[in-house]
This record gives sequence, C-alpha cells and structure tokens, in this order.
Amino acid sequence: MVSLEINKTTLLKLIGKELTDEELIDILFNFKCEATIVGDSINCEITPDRLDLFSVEGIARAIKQFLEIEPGLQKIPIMPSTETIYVKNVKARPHIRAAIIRNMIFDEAFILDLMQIQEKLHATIGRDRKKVAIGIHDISKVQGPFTYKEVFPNEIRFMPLDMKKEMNLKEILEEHPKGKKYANLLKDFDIYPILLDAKERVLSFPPIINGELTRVSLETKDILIDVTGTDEKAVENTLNIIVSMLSFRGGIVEAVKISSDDFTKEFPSFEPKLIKIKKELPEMILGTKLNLDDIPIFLERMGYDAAIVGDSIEIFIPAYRVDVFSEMDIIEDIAIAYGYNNIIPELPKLATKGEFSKKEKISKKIRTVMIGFGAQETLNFILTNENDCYTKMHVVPENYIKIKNPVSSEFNICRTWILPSLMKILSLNKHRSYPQKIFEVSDCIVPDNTQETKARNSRKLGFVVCHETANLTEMKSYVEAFLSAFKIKYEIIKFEHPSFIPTRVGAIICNGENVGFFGEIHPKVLEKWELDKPVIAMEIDLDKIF
Amino acid sequence: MWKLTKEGEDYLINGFPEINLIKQIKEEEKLLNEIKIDNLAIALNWAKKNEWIKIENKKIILTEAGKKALKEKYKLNDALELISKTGRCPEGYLEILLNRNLIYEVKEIEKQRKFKFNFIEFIKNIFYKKQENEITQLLPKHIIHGNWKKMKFKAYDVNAPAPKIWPGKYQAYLDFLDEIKERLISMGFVEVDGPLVESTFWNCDALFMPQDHPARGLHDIFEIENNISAKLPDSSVLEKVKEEHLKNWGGTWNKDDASKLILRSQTTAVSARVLYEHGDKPGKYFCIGRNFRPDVIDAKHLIEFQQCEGIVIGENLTFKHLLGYLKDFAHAIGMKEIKFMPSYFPFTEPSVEGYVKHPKLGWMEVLPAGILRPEVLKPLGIEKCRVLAWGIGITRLAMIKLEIDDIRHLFSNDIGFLRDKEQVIM
Repeated sequence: MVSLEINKTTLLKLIGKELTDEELIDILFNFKCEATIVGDSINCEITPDRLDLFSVEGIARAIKQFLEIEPGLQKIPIMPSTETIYVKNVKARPHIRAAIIRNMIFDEAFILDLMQIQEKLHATIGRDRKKVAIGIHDISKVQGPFTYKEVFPNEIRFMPLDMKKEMNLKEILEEHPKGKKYANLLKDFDIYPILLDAKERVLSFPPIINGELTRVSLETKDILIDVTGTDEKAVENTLNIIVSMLSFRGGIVEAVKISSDDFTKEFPSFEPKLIKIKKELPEMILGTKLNLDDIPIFLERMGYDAAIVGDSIEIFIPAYRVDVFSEMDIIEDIAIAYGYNNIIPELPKLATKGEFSKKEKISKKIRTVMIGFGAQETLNFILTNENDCYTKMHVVPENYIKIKNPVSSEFNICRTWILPSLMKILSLNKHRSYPQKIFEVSDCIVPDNTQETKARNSRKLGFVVCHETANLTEMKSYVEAFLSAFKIKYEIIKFEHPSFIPTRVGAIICNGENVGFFGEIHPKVLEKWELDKPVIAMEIDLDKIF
Repeated sequence: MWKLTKEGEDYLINGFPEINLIKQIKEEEKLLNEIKIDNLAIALNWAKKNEWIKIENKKIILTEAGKKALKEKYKLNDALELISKTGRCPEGYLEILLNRNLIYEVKEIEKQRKFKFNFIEFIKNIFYKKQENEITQLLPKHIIHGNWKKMKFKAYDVNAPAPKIWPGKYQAYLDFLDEIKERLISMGFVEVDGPLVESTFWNCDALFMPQDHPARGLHDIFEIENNISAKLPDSSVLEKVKEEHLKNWGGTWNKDDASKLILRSQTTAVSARVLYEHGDKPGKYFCIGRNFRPDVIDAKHLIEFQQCEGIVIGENLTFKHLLGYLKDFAHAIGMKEIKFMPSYFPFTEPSVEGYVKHPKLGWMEVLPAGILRPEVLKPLGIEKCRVLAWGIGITRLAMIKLEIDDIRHLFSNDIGFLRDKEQVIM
C-alpha cells in the first residue's frame, strides 16, 4: 500500500462539489483507496497499481468521473513544442522525456503536493529511482535548447539542491545526502548523465539531484518536467501521469521535442490505447445480468471512453492508466461501477470430492494419540538459530538451510529437528507446575539435492516429558505404546546420541531403517537450557514410517 | 505409643504358640512328634517357662497350671489386643512383649511423617479404628465383605479445593486450523501442500510479479544462503512466463533470478504448482501452509505465519461464484455479515477484499480474493477453465476467533497459556 496525505479543502475545490467525510470514504473505496479523515487532512492508503491516484489531482479526477460530474476520458490539450532536448548516447539512463506546463499558480501546499507525487512515483514505478527519476524545474531560470548527455565526474561543477556551494559530480556522490543515498545506481558507470541548458548550466544530475538554479518557488509559473530512466515505457508512463495531473489542475501543457540520432519526436503523447471486448464478456465473467447500454456509462464513470460497435465494446484507455493490461482489467472496472455489493453471491454447481492430504491426515491421528498420553500440543517456528538447534543440544551441526537476510540472529536457520524447540519451551516454563508433557507434529526443512528446490519439508514428531523421576523406562513405554497404536513393526537397538545419557538412549528401527530415537536427556544439555529436572524425549521422522 | 510387629499381629489373629500347644495336648499326654503347630520351638520354650508342661520319655504332659491356663484368658493376648486398638501397653507386660519382639514403639516424629505423607492412612489408623462404623476412603474390603452396609459414609465437602490438573490438548490455533480444514473439505476441496524452500519462479514469476517488483526484494523475501539454485520446470513453461512478463512489464526477464531459492513468502506458490500439475480441468484445492517474510516481530507481526489458500478451477466460473465462496467461508467462521470492496493483487483481476463484521471490532478486511489473470493461467496451460482464488491471512481470523490480541500467542511457548486456552468450537 502507498500512503498519501492530501488536503480535503483542495480536494473538494478540485471536485467542485461538497461531499461529507462519509461520502468521500465510501467513494474512495471504489478506487481501492482506504481513507482516514482527520480535520482537513485525508490519509489515503492506495494500492500500488493505481499510480494515477498518487496525487490530490488524480483522486479528484477519479471522483469527478465516478460521480458523473465529468465522466469519460480526460481531455488534455497539448500545445506544440517551443523547446527541444538534444539527447546524446547516455548509457547509464538512455531514455529521457519531458514536458512544459505553463501558467501554474504555486503556493506552499502545491509545492508539497508536487514533492509528494515525485516521491511516490520514485518509490513505485521508479523502483527507487533506478528505473525512473523525475526532475521538476522553474524553466524561467534557464534557456533552451537543452542537452542530455554524459560527463566525467569532475568535468562539471554546479550547486545542487540544499547545498550552499558548487560541487562536481564525484563530490556530490560522496558528500551530498542524496548523492550518498543513490550513488549505487551509478556504481557500474564512470561517466554520468547530466541535463544542461543552452548556456551549459545544470538543470539536473539524474537520478541523483537537481540544480539549485531551477528550484521551484512561490514565484514559479512555468515548469519543465524531465523524466529519465532505463525503461522507455516506464519513463513515458511516468511523464503522462504527472502531466495529466497538472493539466487537470489547470496548467497549459506544452510538448517538448526530443531529438536524438535515432528519432525526433514530441512528447507527451496522450493517444489512448484501444481495447475491444466481446459485448457478452462482462456478463460471462461477472455472472450477473447487465444491461448492455449501461456498460459504456459504467466505463465512462471509471474514466474510459466506450461505445458499443457491432458485437464488441470499444474502450479507450487513458494514457495514465498504466495498470490496465487486458480485458480483465476493464471487466473489474465495470464491476466496480456496477457495485461489487450489487452482485448476489452464489456458489457454483461444481461437485468435487473433498479430501485431506495423506500427510495431514496421518499427522492428525498422531496428534490425537499424543494427546491421549496427556501431552499438551505446541506449535513452534521453523526459523531458529545454530545455538538453540545444535550447540545447546551438544550436537555437531549437520547440513541445514541458512537465511541470507535474517531479521535477527535468533532466526537465521531452518530447524532440522523438533526437540530443541520443545527444550526451549521447557526452559521458559520452570515456574509452571510439573509434570510437563509437550509435543509437536510439524515440519522441519532438510537440505536434499535430489529435490527441485534442493530441500524438502520433513514432517517430524517431537515429545518431551519433564518431572522429578522421569526415566528411560517411562519414555520407552510411550514409544512402544505409540508405535503399537499404529501397528508399526519395530525393533529397539542401543544407540549413541550426544544429547542423551550414554546407555540411556535407544534407536527405533523400522524395516531396517533408523526412524527415530528416545531416551534420557544428558545433564550437560539440561544445564545449557538451565533445567533442573530430568527430561526424557523422543523424536520420530514420520516421513520414514508412514 | 506402641504398635504390633508383624509377629505380634500374627499372634493376635492365630493365637500365641504356647496356647496353641496346650490346646492340642489337652487332658492327654502326647508324643512330641504328634504335635502339629507353627512355631513349635517357641511354644515349648514358653509353655515350659510358664510351667504348663512337663516332658517325660518324649511325652508332653500338662501340669495343673497348664490345665488352668486352658480355661482362662491369656494375659499376654489381652495386652496385645489393647495395644493394637489404643497403642497403650498395660503395666507389667511391656518388657516381656518387647523381649518377644511382638511390639515396637512409634516415635512422635514418625507419627508426624505419617500425617504429612499419608493423610488417608492416618485417617484410617486413627478415626476408622475409633469409629469403626464410619467410612472415609471406601476400600475394596468394605465392598468385598459388604461391611459398608453396616457403616456410614463420612460427610465430605464438595466445595473443598481439589488439586489442579490439565488434560492433553490440541494447540488452540492448530485446533482452529483443523476446523477450517474440515469446513473446506466438506465443501469439496482437496488439501494440497508444497515445498517451504521454494524457487522465486513459483513464488513470483509464475504469479506475474515482475522481476523488479519491490515485493521481490530482500526486504520482503528470505533468501537462502546455501549457494544453490532451484531446478526449474521445462523450458516451454519458462518461455511462456517470460513472454507474458516481457509483453506486459517490459524490461528484461532473467532465468537466474527465477531460479533463486527462497523461503516461500505466499502459499499462492502452491496454487501455481497445482495448476501446472493438475492442468485445464475442474477441481477445488486448498492449502493451509507456513509462509515466511522478513518483518519486525511484535504483537501484530510474525516472520512466520500461515495462510489459507484456495482455488476453484472450472469452466464458466464467474465473479459471482467467487463472492459465493467468500460468503460461505465467512459464515463458516461465524461471521454473518459480509461486504465486498475492490482490491489489488498482481495475479488476480477482478480482485476483491471481503470484509466481515465483528460484533466488537466492526468491519475487518480478512478475505482477499480474485479471478486469476489470464497472464498467469496461460503459461501454466490453463486456457479453457477459469480459476477463482483466495489467500486468506488466517492468523488474523484465528486471533479474532481465539480472542487473543497478540499474534505471538499463536506460536505460544508459555505452557500456562497453552494449558488454560480453551478448545475451539465453531
């Protein structure tokens, strides 16, 4: 979710209609936007696909269309270009698009709004400026034509935003807060992108920082928006989103000519994308009866232009709706305009036979038998650490799955057995009354190169009993009772395991395979867990016997 | 206080050996080898000391004193009887009874220990013997001999405190998940499972998440450090997935990125695998499985949690049917009121969020769902059928149902909490 702060007065002014807080919240839900209104401030939680809603203008536009105040495609008149950007081969960020917006009225709130949309677009479609970066400039401070080219780190000096001195590009990357933050985006290059005016003055050093020279202020009226990046489509989409928003606010859009060795073309282009769908399709997908004539009206309320042409519905998609890929996206918007809650829920006639997975079915039976022993079931994390899983158990670590990016050193590996999880519980519950009997039937993760993902889920049973006179015989009774409950043929043999007292540990053999072990936990292990009563335990690999 | 030794008790029941001896001899003389009693040596010794018998030519003859003793009660026997009832020893008998090892002294300390460690035994010894017609602990002998018919039961207080015990129990959260499973199975769903260590291909690529999507980064997915990579499915699927990505997301698509091994971050990965294996034919499947995501661990977040993933595959399935399943599910967990709001997930369109109304907490968003995008289905070979899907954050529902406000309690390591948490009945 993307969180956006907008001003209610500004929003209502842009909509041109009074709405109560409740009405606003209800309408916004239709755009997947969860709003909280406190006084004059609205906090919107917006899903990351709706980039067109990342500004107060975008939200006002959607509401105006939805309420049929101004339905259908937004008209965006574009004046022919007066400025050109000459593009040289810029390897770090090959693509640049730009537009000029004239006649804007700047106040402090609007400047904050502009900063907010830049920030939100950088974080989403811009992939933290890697894919797309935006610069907004007061165009009156510079003079075209402009040049977008590459320069060496110490070839050029300028005063970046929020700095009182001129710096070269290398110094910016090393000293400026933004430079330090985004330096890694240029780490593979030794020559950097720069946008200059006719007098070689720096507008911006994309994707790092703009020049102080073109900073927008309360006196600014005309702005140049530059969008640079590594993905041409994303760069154009981003420009369209910002320009359509400023046009909605009343700015006059003027194209900018982009001229390179390959092409010369004016941007932005708001040519809508056309999608044709069969006229039955909305009903077929939604499963509810729709009046065909209503569908274009629904679509216009969602900001499209639409018409029924023969057997099809032709839909024109606004250039800023970058989330619309195919017909299913259109169907969703029809459903929203129709109202999700106007669709009567109904179960399909689709007879199938339900079934537990074999693993879960067996696990449930095992859990039931363990409960019959009077044991309390527990559920523990698979994520653990080497100290708990091996060191405290006096076991030499075996091969295990390790996490590359753990959030804490307590959870940086995947457990390969259950007993350590249960020992941890015992160690945390010394103040609870005894006897304590606990178990878990759940997964461990075992590295296994024969598997597609080089590891497998391993379902295991762990059981521990702790009281003053717990001993091998008691646990052996449980083990034998457990195995008999499932009519498993077994043999118990002498075994050695570093977590257990020598001679007081046995292995369970089924069909010649070691499937588990049980015995009295060694006092040196008890000491590690700070336990002062004997503990007896068993662990069985369930995948091996069922 | 005095008590009878085992020998003493034996004598009290079976008689003193010297008495048994003279009872056999009576008026006649008897040859020594004709006498059949236990403890003959003791009997002869004490009968001689009492001057009850004479032995002549291997014959035993009663003296006058012996004949008199036959008619009278034996004083030592009376003494034993008194001791066994009261613990007090009549004067003049103490030394002889001690010498004959028939009684022993019970010290005060031992009495206390008895009281402390064996309360029931103490009651038996003191009260039962004092008031023989009152039963405290009902014993087998009362039942076998029918003694209870002549006796009263000592009055007990049912309000007296009893020691606390706990039954063996299912873990409450797992018990809740079992209930959900049963409900889904009754609706015709087949339970499925998938690997916890997963490839990003199944976790992300097959679900139409672009390779540069922020939710694929180290902040949202745990990566495996073991320097190994996954084996990917055959290249025809890979090519089709790649094609959808390039067509819709632009940029590049890298196979190495798709074969990266991670801990599964969404159970939807299992659904993708099922669709690929199961093919283009009707079916209903669900999975309640663990997922892992890097996060802070606090009352609201865990780095390991379960999701309840369901898919319905069929021709002619519609959005109305999806809402039908959500409504049914809400009812199953006892939520009668439900409303639907538009939502967004990369792999579904249309997408919906089901809100249920909780009596105290109000509307809660708990049922995210949608129809899987053709961009997801086509590469997996599903073209004829439509697929309804949901991925419910079951931890949230469990917290509501179990009435707990700290998510960590779902994986509680507090035995007190586990013992005291009631079982779920839905």
